Amino acid sequence: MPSRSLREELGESWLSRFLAAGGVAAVVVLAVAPVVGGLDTSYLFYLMFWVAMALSVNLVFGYTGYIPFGYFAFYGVGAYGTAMAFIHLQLPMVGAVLVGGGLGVVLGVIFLPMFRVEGIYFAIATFAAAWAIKIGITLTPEGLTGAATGLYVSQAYDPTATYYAMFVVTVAVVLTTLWLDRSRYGTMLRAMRDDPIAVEMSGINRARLRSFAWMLSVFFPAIIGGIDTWNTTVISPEGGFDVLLSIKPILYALFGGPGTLLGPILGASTLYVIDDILWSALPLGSYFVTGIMLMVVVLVFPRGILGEFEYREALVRGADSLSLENLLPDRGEK
Amino acid sequence: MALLNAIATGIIIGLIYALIASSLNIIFGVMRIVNFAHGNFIILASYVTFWLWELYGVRPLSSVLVVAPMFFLIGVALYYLTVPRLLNADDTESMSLLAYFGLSIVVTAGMRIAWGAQSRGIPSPYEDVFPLSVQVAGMRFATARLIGAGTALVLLGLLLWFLYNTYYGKAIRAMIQNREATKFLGIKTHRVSAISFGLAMVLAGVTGVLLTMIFPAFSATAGEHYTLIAFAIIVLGGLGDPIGAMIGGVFFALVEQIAMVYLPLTASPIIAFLVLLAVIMVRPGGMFTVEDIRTLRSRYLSNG
Repeated sequence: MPSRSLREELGESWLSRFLAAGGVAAVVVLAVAPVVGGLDTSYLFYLMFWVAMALSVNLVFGYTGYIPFGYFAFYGVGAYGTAMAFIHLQLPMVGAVLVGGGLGVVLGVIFLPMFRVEGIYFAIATFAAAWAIKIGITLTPEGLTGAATGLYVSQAYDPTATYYAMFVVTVAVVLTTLWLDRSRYGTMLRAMRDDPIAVEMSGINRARLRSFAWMLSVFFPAIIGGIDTWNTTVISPEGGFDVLLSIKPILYALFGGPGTLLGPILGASTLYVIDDILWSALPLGSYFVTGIMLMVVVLVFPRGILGEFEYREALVRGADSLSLENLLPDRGEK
Repeated sequence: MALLNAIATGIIIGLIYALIASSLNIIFGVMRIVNFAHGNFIILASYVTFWLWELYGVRPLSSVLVVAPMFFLIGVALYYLTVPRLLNADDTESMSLLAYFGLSIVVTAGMRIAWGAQSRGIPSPYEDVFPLSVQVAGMRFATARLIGAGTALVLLGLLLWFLYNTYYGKAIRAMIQNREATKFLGIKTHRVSAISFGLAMVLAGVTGVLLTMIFPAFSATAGEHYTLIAFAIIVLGGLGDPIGAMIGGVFFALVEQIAMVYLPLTASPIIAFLVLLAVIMVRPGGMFTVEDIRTLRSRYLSNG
């Protein structure tokens, strides 16, 4: 009998149905939370925030293996675009958020040439570009972007609307990931991550495929940035271009298991609980512990939770399932 | 005049950049480990220097006696804690970038928790021995700055001597060129790697000491800026090439200082990022690489 990997088992077994049911239940709880009351909606807002960020960075980090260190630029640009559209163009907030998302996509197109370089060069290039944008904003005229102080949109404050906006975005990211994972694009991306040369030989246009994943991945953080600005009603260069906005989503995706749907959700919701407790105790402690967690995850659990289960599973099943095909698909081992 | 001043300042700061970049480059060249926390460790050394001065009146140069052994131990400890695991990873460079990015956040946050976000500085530590400033060719230089630059120059010379004349220096250069081949030569790669990590951290530590003499102030968050500058320089001068990093460092500082004559002061950090972006996009292998030299030589040999 040919052995099957955990991924295939998950696809068909009762566990899959159980997970689907759990997912539907979570969506229902999140949908009715503000109406029913009794739940901390601000907590749920940021839980959705990080799940959505982790899932959207996973679209490029998990499926292509490229590490976008400058990911925070998209949050910042989306946030600034939203605030500026609201203040200067007097758009309604929903429209302003979409303008922010559009700016994120434009910035994504500008970042596309960076895919010519790989590995650490890509990571550092995006990081430097994001940092340059942050400094660039502090140099712009005060009346336009608020320069070093930032912008305020306090008259738009509406926690219920922002909650549902974040809810819609989170569901959209989940559906996008689900669609990508099942579609032939997802298969091609995974194949490309695991064996780029074989994919090239099969006549797949690698650059176009990668750009496709990238464009999916940059729209969401810009939208999320806009909604978060709507929620907190303030955006500043420091808050909008915070390194943690790149690092936490990458850490959450890596911790759960990159290149899967469940992994980033799992990673974000477990680590966010820890992070939230720390944040309220000591704001800088969040940086400290995020850094330590990143080191521990990279050094000790480089496969992520799901990957680790899969690996153990393969070990337990014995020699025939320890063949490369069963170990490879989930982390780009060459 | 302003231009001449910028060139002089550029050379002084360039020596510091050369030190930062060559030590970062040794770690990267020998182990393929991207030490993103390099700049943060430099700032940590500046803090140690600052507190030794503030609490015990120890002058910056004397504090090297404390900083150097401390950073050697940190380097060797970091090596044994992280590098063997990272070398086993599928993609050492990317994984080390993530792990050391984590470390960089930890070091910065630790310093901010312990000592706050305000900037610190050691104002003229040698004023009771030497005059406050020296006039050279119509330009005034703070004495501490000149002492710092002189020390940096001596250190760079020592590093070159070490790399070209001692057993460990030669082993380090051999490992930069071909890590696999050195194993066949009977070089203990683990030991050489650990020593080079320790040595690079000592250089980082001493750079942090000199930083307090060259720049009027430093703050806990400045580390990332130095790391990015160092990356720009080593990509510019060639990855894994300590001499390229030295030349690149001085070149970079000159560009930065001359640009600052014409640009607003706050715009200066952008230059580093733009140079970095330009170099990565145009010539990610660096301006001159070991491979270039090899192809040149083989071409020359086959023709002659």
